[in-house]
Amino acid sequence: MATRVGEYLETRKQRGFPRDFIEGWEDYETWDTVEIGRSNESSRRFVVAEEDVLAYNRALGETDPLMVDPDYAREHSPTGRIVAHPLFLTTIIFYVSTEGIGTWVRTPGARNPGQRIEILEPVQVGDEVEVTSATVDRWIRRDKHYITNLSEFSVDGRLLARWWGTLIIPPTREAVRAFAEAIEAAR
Amino acid sequence: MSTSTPSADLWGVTLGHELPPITQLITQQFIDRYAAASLDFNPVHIDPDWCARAQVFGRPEPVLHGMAQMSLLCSLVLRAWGATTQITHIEGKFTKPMFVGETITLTGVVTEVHPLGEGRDYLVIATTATDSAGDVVGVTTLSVRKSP
Repeated sequence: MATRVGEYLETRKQRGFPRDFIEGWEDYETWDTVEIGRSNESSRRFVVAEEDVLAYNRALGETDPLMVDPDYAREHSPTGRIVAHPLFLTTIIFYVSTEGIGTWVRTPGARNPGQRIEILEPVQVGDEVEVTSATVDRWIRRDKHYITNLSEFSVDGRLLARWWGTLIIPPTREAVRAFAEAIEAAR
Repeated sequence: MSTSTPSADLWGVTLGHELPPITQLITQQFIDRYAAASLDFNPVHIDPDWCARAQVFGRPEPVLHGMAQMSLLCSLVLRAWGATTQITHIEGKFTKPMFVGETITLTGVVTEVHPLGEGRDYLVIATTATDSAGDVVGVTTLSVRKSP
């Protein structure tokens, strides 16, 4: 059974998020069927709340009051808002990947070999971040199946960041099933 | 013609400058909290029973999120030079999983100085994460600009 992760749910988004990555696995994109180059038709949005940023900063153990003390940040931050960790982008990606392009990020059995991210502007509390994604590459190396999404983050049409996100995933739906059933058997 | 060598420093930081290291004990509590914060609830991180059966990394324990490790490598810079320091490029790879119960140590060193002019200057930091055995578990290259 899962650990006591429920104890750490602090935000509205965390509580409403589909946390069971096994549920609906049959609908996730798979390495062998993904359509390379197709972009999601309707962009998905993440409205950045102060509590979202605080949760990410605190989970990493940050102590700078600009990152963890909203009252201090309102007075001393250059923007008057709490400062987001640059990889808060991770939360945004998982939030928008529950359906459509890039659902393979939720695949049980996925492994993270490395990432590349460009940040043009930091994410700010209050931003309504739009994410457009396309799977841009897949390849096999040493019998492992790699897949890469390019996700572009923008606010009001202004590009904030690009993320080439790569995972090693089980290559077929049957391979994903093997991991999914390991979960079910473990319950 | 001048024969002087251009200075290899920026903002008072020179090539080879080492950032103060970070250590972090990887507990299930740390992983669970990061899972909630990042919305990455993959069972490979938060479900010990499933991990024992699936053994995705050849061992039965849950593993630290790769993005948590990469985030801590970015934190090296934020904790050294302040939260508003801008990290503009992050490229890294994970070479070995980090399991519950291990301590991760993160280090960084300035490898490039790019004096391009006010507002465009940047440094390149090579960061490394090692596990309790001293094995490298991840490396990342960060491009860093001073906050305006």
